Amino acid sequence: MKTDINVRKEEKFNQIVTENDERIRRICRYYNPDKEAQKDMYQEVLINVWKSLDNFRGEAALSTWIYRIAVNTSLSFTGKAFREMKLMVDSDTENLGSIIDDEELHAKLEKEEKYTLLQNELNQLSVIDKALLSLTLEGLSNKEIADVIGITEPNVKVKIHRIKGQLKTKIGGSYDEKQ
Amino acid sequence: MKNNNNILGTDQLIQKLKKEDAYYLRLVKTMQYVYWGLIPIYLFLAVRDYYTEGVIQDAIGSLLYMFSLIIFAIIFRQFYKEYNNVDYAMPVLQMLKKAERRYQPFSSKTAWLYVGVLLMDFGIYFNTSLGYTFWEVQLYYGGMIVVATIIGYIVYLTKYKTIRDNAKRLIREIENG
Repeated sequence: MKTDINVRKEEKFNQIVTENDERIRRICRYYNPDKEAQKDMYQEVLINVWKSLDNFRGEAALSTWIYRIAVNTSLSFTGKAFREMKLMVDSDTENLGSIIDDEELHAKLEKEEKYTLLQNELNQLSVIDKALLSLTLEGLSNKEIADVIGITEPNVKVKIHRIKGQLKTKIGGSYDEKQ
Repeated sequence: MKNNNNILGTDQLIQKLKKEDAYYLRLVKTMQYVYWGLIPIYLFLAVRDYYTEGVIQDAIGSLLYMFSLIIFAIIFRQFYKEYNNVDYAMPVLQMLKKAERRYQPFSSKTAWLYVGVLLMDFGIYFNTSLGYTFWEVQLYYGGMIVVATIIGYIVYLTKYKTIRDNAKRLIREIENG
């Protein structure tokens, strides 16, 4: 009986990890600049998926469930990683345009072929703002982000609007100063 | 079909996690056997001391041991349940609030722990076969508890306080920021 439960848990775990592998790896890449740290966090997320599996009742969408584990893991990863927590993006990041929210500015950044400015500004953000942005970059709706963070949808909207505004002002300002 | 487990290296991880789960389960079961096994023994000793030997003081001592063991057994079970039910899939804010509560240095659980310790203290004093005076018990046993409390608090300050402070800061940030 106990063996059956363990086998089922193992199968479910394998299925979840296989289906969400790329999603988990992406989240780990957002928060860790080097490959070793990414691997460590990936492992930590898998451990937490295993620990939380018994409580998974399917009330939340599987993707929301995974994002919650990934973000919670990133916040409690290790003291060291927490203090140095960075949000890493590159030009291939699919939804990057959505956080800059300005086609012209986005084009300028693309033209420059460097995301140093954006990268610097992203890393000035608070830990929670970084988490919110990483979920935005994942293409989650405000409702889904609200489910992951545990706040209301309007609250998410206000926060993201504020962060985008800050980024736009800072990047725009810095870019213009360089011209 | 490609064996994804090998690519991910999750096979070894699962084995490790299963081993860890089994280890904690064994540990908890052993501790529970010890606690719940000792409880009837002390009850038996209390009854025997009172009815067979007519030593009321020793009987009270055994009953106090028994009650302290009941408290330790319940607290230990709660700690295990808490550990076993850590759910990383909670909404971030809820998870942080739970962590903030879990890492507070003194809670109602700690208060109950001290009640158990106090009962044990009196149990030792009432046990005539040990032959300690009240102040000797306070000096040795009480001293040990004070040292253990200080060590526990130092561990809290060095290991858990930062986690709790970070959790509190993040809660403030989410709720007010």
